Amino acid sequence: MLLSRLQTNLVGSLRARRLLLPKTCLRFQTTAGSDELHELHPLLLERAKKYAEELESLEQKMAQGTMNFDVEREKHFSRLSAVVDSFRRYSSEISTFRELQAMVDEDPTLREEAEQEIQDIKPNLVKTSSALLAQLLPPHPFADRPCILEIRPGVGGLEAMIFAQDLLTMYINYAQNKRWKHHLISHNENESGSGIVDAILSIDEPGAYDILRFEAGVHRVQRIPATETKGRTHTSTAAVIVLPQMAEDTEKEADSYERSFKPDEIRIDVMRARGKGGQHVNTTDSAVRLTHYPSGIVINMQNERSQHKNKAKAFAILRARLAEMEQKEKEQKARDVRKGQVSTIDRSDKVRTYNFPQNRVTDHRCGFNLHDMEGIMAGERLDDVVEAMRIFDSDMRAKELLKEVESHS
Amino acid sequence: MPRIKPSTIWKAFSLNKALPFLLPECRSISAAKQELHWIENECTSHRQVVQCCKLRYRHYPLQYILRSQPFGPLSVKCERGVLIPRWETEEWTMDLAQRLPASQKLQILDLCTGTGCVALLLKHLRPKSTVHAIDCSPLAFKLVSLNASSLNIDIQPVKLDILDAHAPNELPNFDIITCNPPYIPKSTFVKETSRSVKLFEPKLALIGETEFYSNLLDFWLQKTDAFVYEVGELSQCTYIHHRIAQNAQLSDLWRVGFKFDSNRQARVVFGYKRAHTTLNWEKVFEGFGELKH
Repeated sequence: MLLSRLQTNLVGSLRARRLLLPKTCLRFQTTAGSDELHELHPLLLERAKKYAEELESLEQKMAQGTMNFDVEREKHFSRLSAVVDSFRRYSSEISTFRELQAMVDEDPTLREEAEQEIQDIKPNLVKTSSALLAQLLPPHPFADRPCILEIRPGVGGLEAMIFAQDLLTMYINYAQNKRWKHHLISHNENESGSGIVDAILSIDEPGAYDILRFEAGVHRVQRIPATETKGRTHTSTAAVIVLPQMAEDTEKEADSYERSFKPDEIRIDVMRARGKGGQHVNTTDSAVRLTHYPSGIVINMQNERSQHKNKAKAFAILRARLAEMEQKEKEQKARDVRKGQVSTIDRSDKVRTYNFPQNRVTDHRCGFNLHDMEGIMAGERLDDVVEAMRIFDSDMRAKELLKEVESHS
Repeated sequence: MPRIKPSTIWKAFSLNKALPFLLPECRSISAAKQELHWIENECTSHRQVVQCCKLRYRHYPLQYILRSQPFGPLSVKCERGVLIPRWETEEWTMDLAQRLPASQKLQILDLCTGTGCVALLLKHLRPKSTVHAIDCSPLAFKLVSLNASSLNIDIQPVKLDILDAHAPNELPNFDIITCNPPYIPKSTFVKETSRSVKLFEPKLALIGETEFYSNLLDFWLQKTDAFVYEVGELSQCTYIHHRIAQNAQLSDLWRVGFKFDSNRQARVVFGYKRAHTTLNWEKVFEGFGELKH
């Protein structure tokens, strides 16, 4: 792999010299048009104004001190004030922007300076407007949850297993860079130990689900595998599943959750057969298989010495999967009501390509390109992709929302 | 049991030099790797790991090597000379503990306690109850006390031979008696137990036929409202069932049931008094196993 990377670098630099375009040799810049400014739709701004009014009335009520303390209301209040805060910032920035633009059009003497100023404040404005947009849209129901990442190799045999391992390392590094608490729930290596058969990573940071939920889908890799002897580039895939963590995977939680099922809904198998069992044998095998009949979910767990812990973990995963399934169904229903006017992001299965020879990562949903493979795989620049996806998602949802509002009015 | 292929041994060797030592007990590379991982977690040096694997090659139980065995949410210490807690015992103990009412101060007695696993788990999950743990082996008695203090669970260990006819007289009455007695008949011991059990686990805790079940019927039934006894085979369940059914006095008073483990083997025989008890045992044992009498 090292050799291939060296080669591509060499080839790249040679080509660059030939074309006398050294800038394209090592591009660390992103190519997505994230600095284009879209002014927010008036309907959305109206919504923000409504929030501001609501906040004002709520503040007045609170100032009178007649209401008792209520956690839900406090939460609502803090969300409102955050929205209104960014709304005010947005309106002040947009008005300066408009003034400057007017200046450019009207006053030729100040044109250059004004243009310079516009260039200066534009990135800031883009940021505020996207932040406001994200806040105005209804949050995902599991936005404040920690998350569970499941990674499995797809097509591509051993190379896919190696890539799955690489992805796992990437997410672990990402969590480490962010200083999030994380741990491996399950990690099954393949026989030679070079890749994984499956792995489940738990990221215990509240809100991690909201950030990482766009990672779900099939990740494609194009590179010359370490197992390849003739230097051909292969394409393999790995699947990432992102689940919201519904509760801490403590044993008490698992016990009470286990009892919430009817006995004929679930089946717990311990992987043992033959012989009389009991005192006759002392086995160390503690693998547990959990089957949930109504949904057809099967979960295997075997990493812990304690059967009890394996079971608790299996139940935590089951809970997360069921919650996600339910949410997906809800979304599907809502979409059916709208008769599928919009393409959505979660239906496309191939979400991202990691092209090692070109040192490029492409997200197929938002068309975002990043030319820094090492930074991505080390988890340092994953944030760029996540951010691009988040902007894309809020844009899409804003469009949906506007359509809905327009069709109603 | 099929032999291990030399190719498998070579493959294991190429992955890790200590891995082939684990193959005789684990049988497959994936299981051996899992076990090696557990051993590596507990050991500090590579040499220690290899030594542990070599012990394992001689069928020495992993639980004695690592000196512990998870039992429900607890990690129970294990030592040579005391029976290693089994997953079947864990299964029925967890089930039983969750059925007992948490609010009541129950008097629980655990016989043939060994490491004290059943007693410790019951007390851990139902802290309001009082739990006595009896074993005749001095090694077991020491280990129970050690486990109780290290897990910080307050149980009362007693060193007593329960087959001694006078033993029950000194004790008060109990709400429920649990027991995991030795239940492997001497005649089938060599044939039916695995090598690791045969070579390294105490025969005192393994070999027994029906003496503990008849002891239950003769002495302990008068002192308790309910009992839960582990068994090795169905004949031991039916032994208790028949003896209670045939005795006119007991037959009116007691209900008996069998419980099968998730490996579909007869694992537990339990019984409770129909009336005049502090607890509604019928409700507690509802769905625990099949009622036979």
